[in-house]
Amino acid sequence: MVLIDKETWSLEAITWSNFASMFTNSKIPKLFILANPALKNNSQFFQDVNLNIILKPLRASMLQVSLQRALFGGGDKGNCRNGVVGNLSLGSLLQGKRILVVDDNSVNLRVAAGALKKYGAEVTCADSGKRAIEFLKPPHSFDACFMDIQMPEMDGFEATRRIRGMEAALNDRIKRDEVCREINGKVIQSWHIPILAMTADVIQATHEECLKSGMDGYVSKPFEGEQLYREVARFFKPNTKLS
Amino acid sequence: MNIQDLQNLQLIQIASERIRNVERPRSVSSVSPFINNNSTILSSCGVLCLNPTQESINQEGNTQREKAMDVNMLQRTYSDLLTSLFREGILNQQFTELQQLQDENNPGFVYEVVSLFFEDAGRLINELISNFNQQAVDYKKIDAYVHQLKGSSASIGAEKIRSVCQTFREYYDKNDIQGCYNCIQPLNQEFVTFKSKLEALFTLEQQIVAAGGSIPMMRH
Repeated sequence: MVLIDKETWSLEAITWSNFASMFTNSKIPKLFILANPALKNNSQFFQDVNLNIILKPLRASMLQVSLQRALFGGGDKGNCRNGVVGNLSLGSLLQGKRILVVDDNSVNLRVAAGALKKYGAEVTCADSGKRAIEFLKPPHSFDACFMDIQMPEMDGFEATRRIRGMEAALNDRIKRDEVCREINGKVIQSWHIPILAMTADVIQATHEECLKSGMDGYVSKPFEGEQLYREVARFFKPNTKLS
Repeated sequence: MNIQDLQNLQLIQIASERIRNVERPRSVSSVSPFINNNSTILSSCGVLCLNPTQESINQEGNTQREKAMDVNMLQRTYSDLLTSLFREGILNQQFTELQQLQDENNPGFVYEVVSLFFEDAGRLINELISNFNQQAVDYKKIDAYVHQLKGSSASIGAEKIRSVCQTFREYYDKNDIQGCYNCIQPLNQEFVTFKSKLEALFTLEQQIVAAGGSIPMMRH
């Protein structure tokens, strides 16, 4: 295997095909690029299936898992059904993101938070719809929210409706220039935090209900790697700011 | 001592002088009856004689060997237990995911989460049982508890528990009260089994670490 720092890779203007062509027999070594998370804006690079990307700073556990997956996990990335830990691209999307996880069940909360933290997210936990609303009343610094649907007192749909209501009210005032658009050095034209439903029963009706209440999508509970990546990739694209 | 012994002794004396000029012999790994029987004479030649009952170096070697065997045995027991839990369907892939979330930033993750589950599930099952024993059984309330238990057991990979919860909910959806009722005892039984096996697993982990070993990684 070959581990190479991204700066070196880019400086030398190497591409996967130059690299692969160096090996005359079919045994091309596994290639690992060590990249700085700030560079994740280069999404094309990060999407290249042939490049296994490991984010710096190196952590022994992440390195172990990445190597294990690349060397033993099967060449077919599509095969890795539960890429919860092995999926390096999720790390590049979630690194440093502030995420609110909402679930009334403490076990589910702990597991979901643990999974997101593994990808480098900063996770805050809330155990009710009411707490979620308190956290997500704008202005706030969260980048996304994972919300359990079935909660006593106030379910996920209702909590989302109220959050969207608060955002709409503030957005009106922004339009009328009644309030400042800047928060933490970022200019926000209108507030819309991505909210993903977490649900154990993924059925069509639930999906429609999610969208109707203002949610942006849903993921199954417990998390499933490929699906989680797909959903998160819709909001955390390299050029996306809270817009 | 016969003439043969004397000659051997002389040879040893010569050899030991040579060795002494190079390096003092520190240990003797095998003990022969000849050396044993003639230890006093040999000692005077500068040959270190080791007696099986009192050699400190060998003893230390033995202790280390014993320790290594203990750790190996513990590790084997751990691997066997974990494998059997998967084979019997008590744990599923989600548990492996949890193990992978544990790292130097999150060292006791699995233990923490499973302990939370013990508390959570224990409480829920008690509620279930006491609700069922009442005059007027509130099935809606019971279903809500089972839904909770299904969610948390799924989160940690407690497959059998999750499965019984699912069966319960299917009976509930069909208004099959007898079916629901028949799930309660198995649910309790599965929880008791799960708890004792996971506790055994954690105890083994602690013992392995205390003995200086590392927890075997399992690939599924």
